[in-house]
Amino acid sequence: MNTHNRSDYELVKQFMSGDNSGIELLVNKYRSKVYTYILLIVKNQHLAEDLFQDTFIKVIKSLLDGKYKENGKFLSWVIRIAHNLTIDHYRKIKQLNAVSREDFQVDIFNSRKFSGINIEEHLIGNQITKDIKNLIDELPFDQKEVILLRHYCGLSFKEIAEHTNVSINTALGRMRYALINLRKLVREKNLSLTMQ
Amino acid sequence: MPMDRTSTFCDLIKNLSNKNFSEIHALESLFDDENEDLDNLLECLDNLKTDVREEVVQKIVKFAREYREKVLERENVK
Repeated sequence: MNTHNRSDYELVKQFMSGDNSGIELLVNKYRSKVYTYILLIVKNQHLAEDLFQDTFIKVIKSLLDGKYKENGKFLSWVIRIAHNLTIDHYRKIKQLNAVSREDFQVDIFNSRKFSGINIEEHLIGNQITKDIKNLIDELPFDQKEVILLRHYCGLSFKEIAEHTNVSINTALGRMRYALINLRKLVREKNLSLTMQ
Repeated sequence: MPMDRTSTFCDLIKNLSNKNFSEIHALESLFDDENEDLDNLLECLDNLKTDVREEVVQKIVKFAREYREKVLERENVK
């Protein structure tokens, strides 16, 4: 199949009519542009990757939920989504810094804990944060989403429920399973997530 | 499109500060209809050529499969 000559409209139609290769082709077609745009703003590879992933998740949801309106500007639409998610990220960080985080269940998510500690502890702290992020990446999408929204974005369960179109009980259930699975992964990988 | 305009635009984008919210907000005008700077932006992104890891792309493709199944399930329930 010659994919180079296929227009965005054809690839969108291909995806919407049930062929997942349509979205794969679109992601591959624009991955560099969209990722570079995000990276230029956030200047951090991991954050840029997360926002890139979130961007295409939103694209996929919009397409499959019938919210996309074809106007011949697919790439511009995708970059706009990336832009808005990036703005949302900074907005949430700002809010997060403005509110008390005493209700967090896991202290490791509270980076202020690491202020005033020595370099070795700081490096261990960074490693633990990295390990936790890798573990979260292994969770099923629904569970990963609820963890990120709760602990990284600071949303309440009510807000998470609204954001993900589920009931509060479902959001709480997903968090419960996410924590169970995280504990299981920690045991399986024999990780130490505490500062000795 | 004049090359000097693209490179000037590219320099502006590359030097964007993520500490200054107004600079990021200012980019929003790019998405207005008929804004020719969007073409400059796309050309600039092409020139920079950074790329995301394949693993991230595969996660998105996996999500697309799973979400389609969910949508189908939802439609079957209706």
